[in-house]
This record gives sequence, structure tokens and C-alpha cells, in this order.
Amino acid sequence: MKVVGIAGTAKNTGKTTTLLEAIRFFDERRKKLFITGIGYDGEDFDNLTGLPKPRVFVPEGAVVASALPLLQSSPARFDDLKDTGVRCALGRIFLGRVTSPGRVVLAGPASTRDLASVAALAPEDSIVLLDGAFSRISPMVVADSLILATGAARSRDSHRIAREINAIDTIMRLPVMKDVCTGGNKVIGDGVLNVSGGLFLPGQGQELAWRLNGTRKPRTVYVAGIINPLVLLEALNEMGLNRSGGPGHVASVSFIFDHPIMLLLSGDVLQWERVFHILYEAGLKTGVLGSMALLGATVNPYIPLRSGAGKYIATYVPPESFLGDITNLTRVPCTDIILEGPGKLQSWLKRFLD
Amino acid sequence: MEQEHINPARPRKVVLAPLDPVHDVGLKLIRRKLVDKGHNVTLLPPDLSPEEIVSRAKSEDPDFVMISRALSYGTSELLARFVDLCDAAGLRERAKLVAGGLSMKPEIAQELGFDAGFGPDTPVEVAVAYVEGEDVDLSNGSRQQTKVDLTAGFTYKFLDSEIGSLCTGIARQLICWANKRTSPGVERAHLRTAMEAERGCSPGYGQKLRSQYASLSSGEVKQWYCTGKPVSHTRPITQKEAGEIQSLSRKAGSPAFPRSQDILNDRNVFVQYGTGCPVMDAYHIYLSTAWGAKGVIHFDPSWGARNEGLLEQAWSHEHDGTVLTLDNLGLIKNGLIPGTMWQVRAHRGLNTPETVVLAHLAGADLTKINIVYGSLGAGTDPERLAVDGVEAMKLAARYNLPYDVVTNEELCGVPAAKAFAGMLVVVTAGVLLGGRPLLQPLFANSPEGMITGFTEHNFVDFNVAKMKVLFSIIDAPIWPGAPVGFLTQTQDRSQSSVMTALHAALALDCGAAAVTIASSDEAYAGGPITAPSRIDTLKATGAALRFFGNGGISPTPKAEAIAHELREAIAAVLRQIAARGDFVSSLYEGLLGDREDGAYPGRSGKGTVSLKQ
Amino acid sequence: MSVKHRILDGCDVETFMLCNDLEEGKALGLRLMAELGFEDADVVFCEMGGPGVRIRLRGYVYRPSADYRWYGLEVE
Repeated sequence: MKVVGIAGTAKNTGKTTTLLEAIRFFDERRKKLFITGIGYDGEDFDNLTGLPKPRVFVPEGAVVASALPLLQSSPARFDDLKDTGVRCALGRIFLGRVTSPGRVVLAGPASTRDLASVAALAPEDSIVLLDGAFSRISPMVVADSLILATGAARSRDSHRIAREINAIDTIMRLPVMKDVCTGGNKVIGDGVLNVSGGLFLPGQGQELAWRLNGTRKPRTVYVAGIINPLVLLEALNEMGLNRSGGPGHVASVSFIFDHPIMLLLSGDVLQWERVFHILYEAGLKTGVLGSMALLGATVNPYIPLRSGAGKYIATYVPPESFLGDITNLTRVPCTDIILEGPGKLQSWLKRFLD
Repeated sequence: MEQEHINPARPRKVVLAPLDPVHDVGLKLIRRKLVDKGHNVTLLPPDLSPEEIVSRAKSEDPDFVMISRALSYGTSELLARFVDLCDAAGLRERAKLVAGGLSMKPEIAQELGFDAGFGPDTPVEVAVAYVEGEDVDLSNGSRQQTKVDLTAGFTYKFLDSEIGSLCTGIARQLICWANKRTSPGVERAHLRTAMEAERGCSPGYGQKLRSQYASLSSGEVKQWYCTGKPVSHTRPITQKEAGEIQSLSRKAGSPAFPRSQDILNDRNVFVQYGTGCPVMDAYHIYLSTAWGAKGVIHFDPSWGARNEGLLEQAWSHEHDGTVLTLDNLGLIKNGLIPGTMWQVRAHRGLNTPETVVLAHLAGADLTKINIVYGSLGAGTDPERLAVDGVEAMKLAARYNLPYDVVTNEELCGVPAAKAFAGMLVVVTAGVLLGGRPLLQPLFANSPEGMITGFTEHNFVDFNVAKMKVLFSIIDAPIWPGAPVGFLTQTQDRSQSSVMTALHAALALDCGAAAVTIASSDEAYAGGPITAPSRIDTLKATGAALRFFGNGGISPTPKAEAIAHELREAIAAVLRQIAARGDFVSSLYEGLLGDREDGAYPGRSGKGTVSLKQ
Repeated sequence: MSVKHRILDGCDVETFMLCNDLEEGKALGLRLMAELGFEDADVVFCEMGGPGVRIRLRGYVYRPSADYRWYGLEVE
């Protein structure tokens, strides 16, 4: 079983379009598909803006996990309906195998725990496609690989978008610490400082620095949970690392984080540029326990804009220049599916299959 | 994972957090309700960052985290980030995340990743029920709709012995008189039962019965049975139309149908449908139920009252009234939300017993039988409708089908005392025949109210007096209408909706088992009722019920005086009828409403009653 | 499909029109509905007060038994 997630950096960044092309790609290759989503996707009109949306179309043979009432009211037909034992805001989530293709609204498990238990029901030889929601990314830890959907709805500033993609890519490429010994949500070993509950509140960075400067000089800091870059920066500042050639004893400290996703949940992702720069300058090693591959980023020029009358209207930034700027500024492969066709996305998915 | 079965007695730990500097009134309300029920509630101060809320909630190790936030495009991203933080921080291992606030609805809650979402229309009790682990249907924010027996708990005993004894005597005479007689309407009811029993059993089923049926029919209905020529302005339902109702019925049957207001949940508010087109009806029923209607009432075309006989097969009608056939009823039934009460009624005329048969076969919950109104205010011969009405009551008793007995002759100008006397006699006959009738007094500004001045200063006293007097006479359910507010509504939709809503609220406050409400198009005669007009009055009724709540509506002392006056007048009318010794003759002779009042014995079906062989 | 065909039955327009009397108000209202493209239009309600009429107009897109174009909307 291989799991690919489609995560957005904001609402209206083109997740559904990317999902539809991914479904088509796997279906054409006759792969066993297992489709679910962590939000609510496939409706005719956006719940918030009221603007038309792409619809999710499921092919024959695919297994879909969604709230039962939505499967029942779908024009697609399902058999083998099975209760997953998981409930969402719209009712019980059921699995159904598509016997007659059609449109469906995907409303699946919202939490990591529930998503993991639903994904575990997928047949061993299937491809699991996870449809994201808004900028939500935390349940994506279940995925092996990620496609990022971003675009003008996140920011019209193509430079900012490119920087964000690069920062996310840097995080995804953090080395995996395979040789550390873990147990009970801790890293086991001498000289390890285990920080449980994450680092995401102001003041926690300072506290970490004090502990690092204490009598016992840990060689490894393991942070279990969410990390906010500014809080880590606060720690590094307190340790004097923002100045060149800071205290010598920390030169040997390594930072280990749970999973790349944990670095993307709190604070501005661009702040990681500074954090990694300081860590790099200080020669401090950083790594993660879990890993995830970033396959590429789809870029959508669409922006729902609120008019003076309080209604939303669909607007677009110039697609060619927007995509061109982003592509030039990032090392991550990018595409606008509508502008360029699905070719590039397909090449990433081929890589994923290999 | 699956929400565990939670013992409501066990206190739950709930963290309430306003993700909004000002929006925490809703949370304070929930806190009060939860604390009252013994739960352990922590209300966090406003204006904390999502990270701070997560951190403080985590230290509480709660069962539920409830967030309130008015929703907009920007804030939804904030809520999504909050959900992610809770997830990654491990809060969701145990706690359910709930979002509430303006614009919140289950679909948005799902999209944002919450376990549940409650909008501003969700009663606090629903949020409390969710915390207590009751199986709340989150997709519509309310519990499943269930049918109620409107007649349950009523003994049908007369509390006024003089009136009771008069009614019983007159009703016995009516039944005895009717038992000796029959009519084409009675015969057709029996034929219809036999025809439907044979349907599908053999090819060309019931040909003999059908030709017998045709011979007992008249006008265009007879023509259809004999030649196949459709009745004017009707055409057969197409495959596409039947398919549309079928696909709608899938949505209607789904537990996820969206509900707009729940305040009408425990109130039996009925609406009438009968656009002529079963597809449009199905949509109107579906949306009316979504806006809180508990029951729906089938209206057939007015020509149904004048023609002997009912059609077969499924038909669309270009004018008001949906053709009454078992096939049409079957289509419409498909589109009913489970738990919706359904009354199938005929247009006060020549097909009353057969309508009861169809209502039974179609699986309706209620029907309608009216002898006095049909004969004095709606054009059917009194003798004929008396024979048919008694037969219809016998059939309804056999099928255990409750029915209302209406006094809409008040609309013609018949005083309430006479109309009530007639209704009470018919109801008594119904009870003697083993049935479960409901009293349906006009609840409106009747001509009598205007002429006597009963409604000069308010619409409350006269209507309350009517309810009071009936409740003081007999222990029976009252379902006023129908619909409530007649002659008070204008073409102005605000005025119309307010009048309907206030009448409905008053009737329910007086102890009505149910009310029937009109749309805000009630006084508009230029075209069919539209969907938004139906919603207008349902919304208004919800608002009125919310406004009065259990506060009660107080009439002036005049109500008591009118009730007393009415009681004496009803007794006087009944004494006259008893002295006359013949109910049907009393109808012809004006004892229950005369020409001066505006009542005219009808002629439709005159001379069709015969003595039984 | 025109958005108009998403309308279940009728579309009401409610507004205040500046005019000299009720009849003028009604006539203006019906002209407005014609301009909006409603062929089957009617005045549901019209009341004169002060500088004009409060008017509610209705354009029936579909009367019952018509060939509704919203049929099968949910089907691909």
C-alpha cells in the first residue's frame, strides 16, 4: 500500500483539480484506488465563497471512504458498503466499492488517528489517495508522499509562494535519523534531552535554552510534537547562536523532530529559512524520525475575491508569468495543470509508483 | 473512532474557547446548560491564540473542546490551523472538537476538520445532547423526525353532559338513517378496494370491475374510463418525471437531508401541497419538511368534488390541485422524509369514501371527512354527503385512520355555534362508529367575527373562546385551521407571514394537537404558490413560537364571555336539531346554517342516494 | 444551462419604486420584470406610500407541470 496526499497551502489552491488528475492517472493504469479526504470536497459550490467548484468523479472499481449519507445520495453507485467505525461531522464513514462511476462528495476522517485507521482498511496492493482540506496538513503524516497544491489564493506574490515551497521542501528533505533508539515517545540514550508536548508557545524557547545551558550538557534534543520556528529561534537567540561563533558547547547538539509535518503547523513557514541558516552556520545537525517525499507543487492562479457587495467573484493572476516566476525560483517541480496539462503531474506520479 | 457510548450521568470535561474577541455569548449559554447538568466546564478567556488554546486545553485533558468563531474566508483558515494544532498535539486522541458560530454548518465543520459543527439556529440542547453522547443526527443538527398520533390520550368523553346527550342522540339518528342508504360514492369505494386487490394479479385486471366503476362515474372521469381521453388540463406523468421523484426520494430518504430550523421539531405544523404536478409537489414537500413542517396535506383539483369517480394512473395537472390517484400518491409518498405525517383528503365532495380507501392503501396517516361543510359551503348535496360521510367514517374506523372534521362553512358566514354543532354531531357519529376524529374549527377572522365585533379589538379572544368551548364540551383533539389565519392574510408577504405565525402560535398555545398553516401566497390568486412563500410562513411560525415560548398568550376576559355565549348557542342549535328529529333535514332546512348566514345546500350528487336493497 | 433554470418555480423581486400612483408603480414593475427577462410575470403585491410603491413582483420560470430544466441536476 502506498499513500499519496494532496495538501493545500490554503483553500482554493486547486486540490480538487489535482486530485481528479491523480485519480485519472491511476485509473488509466488500472491501479487499485482507495480514495478518501480529510475535509469536504466535491460539492457543486464552495461552502464559503458560493463559487462553483470542480466535482470529484470516482471511477468504477475504486474504493471510496466517505460519510454514508453522501455515498447514498451520490449518483455513483457502490457495493460492499462497510462501516469503518469512524464518525465525522456528517455521519458514519463507510467504505464502498464503485460499481457505477459518478460524482461523489468526499467527507472522510478529520484526525490523524481516524485517517490512519480508515487508511489501514485499504487493500495491501492499493494506492491510497488522500484529499486535503484548506491548509490542513497534520493528518498527512499518514502519507508516504505529498503533492502540494498552492497558488494565488495563498498569496499573489509569486516570490513568496516560491520561498514557501522551498522552505517546505527543505523541511521534507531533513535527514531521517534511522539509528536513534526510540521508545515511549522519547529518544533513548545518554545525553538526550526529551522535550514533550512540542515547542510552540512564546517562552518555551527560552526555557529550552536554559535547560541546554544547565549543568548537564545534552548532546541531543528531541522535540516530540509541534515546533514553531519562532520559538526555536527564541531558543537559539537565548543560546547566543544568532551571533556568529556562539557558545562552543552547543556545537555538538543535534536537534531531532518527530516528522516534517510537525514543523509546518505553527507559525510562518518562511521563518524556517532563518532557523536553518543559523543551525547551518553553527554546524548543528537537524533530523527527523519520520519522513515524507514531496513529489511536486501544483500552482493555481485562481483567487476568489470578495467584491464590495460582499459577494465573491472568481479572479485570476496572469497564469503564465505566475507559474514562470515560481518555477524559476524553486528547485521543486511545479506545474499549473490547467495551463500545461497533466503531463508533469503524471511524471511525478510515475516516480511515486516506481 | 466511533463515538463511544457515553453514560449521560457521567460528568464530561468540556473546554469552551472563544477564538474571537467578542463572540462568546453562545459559549456562556452552553456553559450554563452544561454546568446545570453537572458537567465540568472550563471557559477560556477570549482572544487567546490557537496555540495558547491548545496548550491550555491539553492541560485539562478534556472530552470535548468547543470553539466559537464567526466564520469568514480568512477566519476559516484560522480554524483549520487550530484543528491541525489540536490533532498534532494529541488532543484528539481523546477529545472531540466542536465548532460553533455564525455561518457554521456541518459541511463547513467537516471541511475544517471538526467532529461537529453547530450554527446559530442550533438549539443549545443539541450541543448539550452531543456532549452527553446522545445519538444526535449531526448532519442536520437535530434528532430524527418521528410521527405522532394526534389523537393519543384523548378519551372522546363528553364533559358537557347536555351537549353530549344531544349529540349522541342526533348522531345515532344520522348513522341509523345512513345505514339504510347507499350512493355511487359508497359503491365506488367498495369497487376501488376490489380493483386494487386485483391489480397486478392478472393481465387486464379487473376489467369487469372497471366497467362497473365507469358506470358509476360521471363527467370527464367517466369519459376517461370509457374512451381513454384525459381529463382537461391533465397529462400522464412521464418516465422522466417519475425518475426525478425517484431520485429526490433517495435524498429525502437519506438521514443527511439538511434541516433549516428545528424549533418546529416538537410542534405539529402541517402544510398543504397540491401544485398539480407531483414532481413539484415532491420538491415542495421536501423543502417544507426541511424548514420544519411535521406533516403535509394532499390537495386535489376542485373538479374532484363535482365529478363522480377518481382516475387511475399517474397524472400531472396544469392547474391547482394534484390529481388524486393511488399512483400519484405512491409517487409522492416516495418523496416523504421518513417521519413526515401525511394527510390525504378529498375536495369535500362526491368521492369522500373512496378517498379514505386510497388514503389507507397509500399508507397515509390521516384523512378528512366533512359532511356539514361539504354540503352547506362546498356544493355537495347534503343527503349524498351524509350517506358518503358515514360510510367514510366506517372505513376510516376499519383502517384505524384518524380524520379531521372541519367547520370551514364559517368562511361562508355560518356562525361558529351552528358550525360547531354540526361538527360535534359528525364527530360523535365518528366516535360511535369506532373512529378517531379530530375537531377542526376555523381559526381565523371569520365573517361572524367581523360582523359581531368579536374580532374588532383583537384576533385572540374569539379564537381562544372557540378552543375553550370545544375543550369544555369534549375531551377530543383539536386541529384548528385549516389553514389558520384565513381572511387575515393579505398579499403582502410580511403581513401574511406574521398573521399566519401568530395564529399558529396562538392555536398551539391553546392546546391544539396540530395546526395547518398557509404559505405567504395565501391571498395571492394570480398563480401557483412558490417555494419561498412556503418557507416564509414556516420561518415566521418558528420565530413566533420562539418568541412566545412557554410565556403563554393571555386573552381578555371577553374570551370567557364569548365561550359562554357560544356554549349556549351550540346547545340551542342542537336542541333544535334534536327536536327536528332528522339531521339531514336539518341541513336542508338551515338549522346548521341558512341562506341568511351564507350557507346553501349543495346540488352536486342530488338524487343519487338510494335505499339499500 | 442558465442560472435561471436552477429556480424551482418562481423568482420574486421586491423593491421600492418611485412613482406617482399605484398603477404607474405596477406598470413600472412589470416593465422591470420584462427587462430582467421574465416572460411570465405578475404583481403579487403593490402598496402606495409616500414617494412610490412597495412592490413585489413574481416571474414564474416554471409553472407546475412544465418541462423543468432542473431535471436530473445531480446526474452527470
